[in-house]
Amino acid sequence: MDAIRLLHISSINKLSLCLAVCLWFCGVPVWAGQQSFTPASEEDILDLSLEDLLNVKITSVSKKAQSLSDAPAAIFVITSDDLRRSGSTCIPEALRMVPGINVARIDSNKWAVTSRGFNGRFANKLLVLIDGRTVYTPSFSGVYWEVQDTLLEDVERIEVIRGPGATLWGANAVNGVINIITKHAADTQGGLLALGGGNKERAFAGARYGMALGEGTYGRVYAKGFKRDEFVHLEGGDAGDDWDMLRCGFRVDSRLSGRDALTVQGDVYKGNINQTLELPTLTAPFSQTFKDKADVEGWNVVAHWQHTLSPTSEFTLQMYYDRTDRDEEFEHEIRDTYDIDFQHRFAAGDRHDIIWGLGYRYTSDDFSNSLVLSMDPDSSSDELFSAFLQDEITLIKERLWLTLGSKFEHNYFSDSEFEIQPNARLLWAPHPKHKFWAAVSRAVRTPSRIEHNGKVVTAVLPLDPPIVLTVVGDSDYDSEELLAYELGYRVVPAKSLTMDFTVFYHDYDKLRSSELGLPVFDGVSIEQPLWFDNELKGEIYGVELATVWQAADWWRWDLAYSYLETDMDTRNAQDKAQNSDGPQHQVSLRSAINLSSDLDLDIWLRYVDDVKTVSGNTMSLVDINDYLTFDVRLAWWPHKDVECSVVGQNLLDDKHPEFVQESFTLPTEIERSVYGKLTWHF
Amino acid sequence: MEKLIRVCLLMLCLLISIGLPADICAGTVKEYSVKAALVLNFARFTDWPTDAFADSPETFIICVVGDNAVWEAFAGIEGKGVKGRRIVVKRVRRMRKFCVCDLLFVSGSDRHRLPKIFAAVEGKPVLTIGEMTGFTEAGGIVNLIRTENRITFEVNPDAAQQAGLKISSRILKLATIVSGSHGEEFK
Repeated sequence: MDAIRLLHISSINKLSLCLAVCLWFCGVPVWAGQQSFTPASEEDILDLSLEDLLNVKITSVSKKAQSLSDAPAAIFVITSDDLRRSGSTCIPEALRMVPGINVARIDSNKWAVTSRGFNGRFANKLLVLIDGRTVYTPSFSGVYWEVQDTLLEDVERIEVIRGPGATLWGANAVNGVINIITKHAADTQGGLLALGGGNKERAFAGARYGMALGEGTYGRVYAKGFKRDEFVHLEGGDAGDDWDMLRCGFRVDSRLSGRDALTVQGDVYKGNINQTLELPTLTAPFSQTFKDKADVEGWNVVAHWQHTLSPTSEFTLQMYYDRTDRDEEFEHEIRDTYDIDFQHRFAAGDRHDIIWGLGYRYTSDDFSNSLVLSMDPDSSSDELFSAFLQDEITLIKERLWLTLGSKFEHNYFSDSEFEIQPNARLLWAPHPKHKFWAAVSRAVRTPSRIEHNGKVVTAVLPLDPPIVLTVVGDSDYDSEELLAYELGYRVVPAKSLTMDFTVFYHDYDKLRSSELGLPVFDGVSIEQPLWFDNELKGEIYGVELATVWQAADWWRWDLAYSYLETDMDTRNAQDKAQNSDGPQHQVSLRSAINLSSDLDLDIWLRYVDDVKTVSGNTMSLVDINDYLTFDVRLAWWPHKDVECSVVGQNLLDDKHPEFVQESFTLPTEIERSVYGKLTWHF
Repeated sequence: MEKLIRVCLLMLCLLISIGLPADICAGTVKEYSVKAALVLNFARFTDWPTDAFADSPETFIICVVGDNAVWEAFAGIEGKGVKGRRIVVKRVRRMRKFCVCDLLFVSGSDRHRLPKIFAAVEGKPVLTIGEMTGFTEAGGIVNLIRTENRITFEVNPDAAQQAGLKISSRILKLATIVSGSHGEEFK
């Protein structure tokens, strides 16, 4: 992997160029911003008449630059404005702005996304929800990010909670929860058409139409599609990872009565995901590299009913069905999930706010086994029962709150014990501009299907007889456990400046390790199994900082910094190679400038430190160098309903590697991308 | 690590280069300052029933649902007079406190909390002011709407009447009139 190191190019010249460009732009808005004038100032606005107030020109200074969350947890919110101005064309790319989250693109159609360490294509300690629907797959407890999408213009916000969120969210919310929330149908009335294309984003189009369907009932339908180009292999040559996807969906929000609200929504998608695979074979040359096409499709429907019993009591009932179908060379998986959740929130006395809930999930899968990946049995179903109870207690009014709660889970398939995941959180607000919080929580990651029933052939050594290296699941494999300690401080140190600090210490036990099994000779080859085991302990600690500074009405800065230290207590080198390492430092700096009332400029600078990724073939770690890059977006509004934008991504290098998948794909580099986009609201 | 240092240097240069141009754009006014001023006007041009202030004859209580940014803007109208009473701004976190309010401002666009809010103020003389699509149709009295860079508003006179409030024609003639009520179920 020295080749990766060689790619570390000096970027001093490019950096100085960037600096010059930035400095040039700095000067521009000083005059460009001062176009709209009214006689009123903040002080004498209260003396204006009603008629005059309606004529005052307002600026919407980002609320983010002044708001402090009341949540006693490490939370970061990507607003719809952040999303638009990021220039991101898909959800994982936008997550790069969140402190504590590591996003690494593996190739054109694969991402490794994690919160607080342990990154991988199959990163398994993160819970991702889209409008309450869980989208991680229990097959490996990870997320196929390439199929998690919607019309980004319809996304209201993305809430990212780092650290355990198990009490309220449940299964798999070990290191973090990503909650993608789409807009209420009343907020997406009218039409929208977005079209564009570029060198890597070959072509994309999205359309939405929303209308009132009756009194208190609103609906919308959308459709989108894209075709993305391939990247290049690290060793040279096209990576053959171009892909395309079509998706459409609807959402209806209805106020059935003064106390009942109903939401029904659904999506359907279909895509062709090309990839170059390097799979082991039992005959010489024992490895085969070829182009493959993964056919992915799925659909879901979600119903959510909210009923208000009294001013201090309400319940929600949510049901969904989700189907995913993924067919690629080494596996074909079909999964159906049925889920029902009930939550009741009420106030008890003057000081207690209680929320409790019950959940049931049924999921069944059907695998078509191959030499490389097989499940035994190849078809299985699983039931998950859960309950939770949480009480937010006001200890001192307007000052001090204590939240105590726990989730209780029982999983039939994993046959694991009854899991209890409690947490205690304290929020202290000595002043509206200063908030402190502290939390202690326990979370578990229940075993995935592959960890119990799977068998993966990672490599075949060309000896006589050939040695087949396999990783084999174990039905005794147990849940991984985490005890997390977190401290946070949010402050408004000066006007239009907010800072959000978090310090955390995660203490893990029973993490996945591997144990050499006894070799078996079947007459042709020797199989050398590695069994999954729970023998690894480890600590991860770090600091996360999110800062927003509204330097002027027309200029906002967003800085995110993450520091991460991984300390695994390993018995031997094989264990270490179960978990990726780093990056130790990550910086995201965004500058959003309104050059004039119809021109926006966004610059997004990112630094990601060295990463060590796991190689499944050799069970060793592969070094990926640190990288620095930036995106620029320029948007012009020729008319109030039309936006034309040009976005350049990863501009500092022609290409750089960010991650190498654990197995089966060749190291791929992320290329510079430029695209144009036209958005029309009607 | 070397690159990280470069990032820090670059940031520093950028920060210095802008030279702290605080409030350079003095010509426009922040959205929530205008909204707070509008709320003050709505309070002045609405008549409450005579017994509405029996509990606290000296004060006029404005409750604000929102974050510290909204709250800060509303702090600017604290102490001003409404019908001979002094305005007190209260930040409300919990629905059960709404009974003490004379006026309630609900910021944000979280519709899920509306049924609880309307249930809490049902039949009470509370002027409800919101800023989301459908606020008045759902039973709110006044809704502030942002259109480009100005604010307009809609009023639901039926809801005002149900609350026992009389809104001045001076307000009504500037408003878009909306009908709709949030249901009699809570009676």
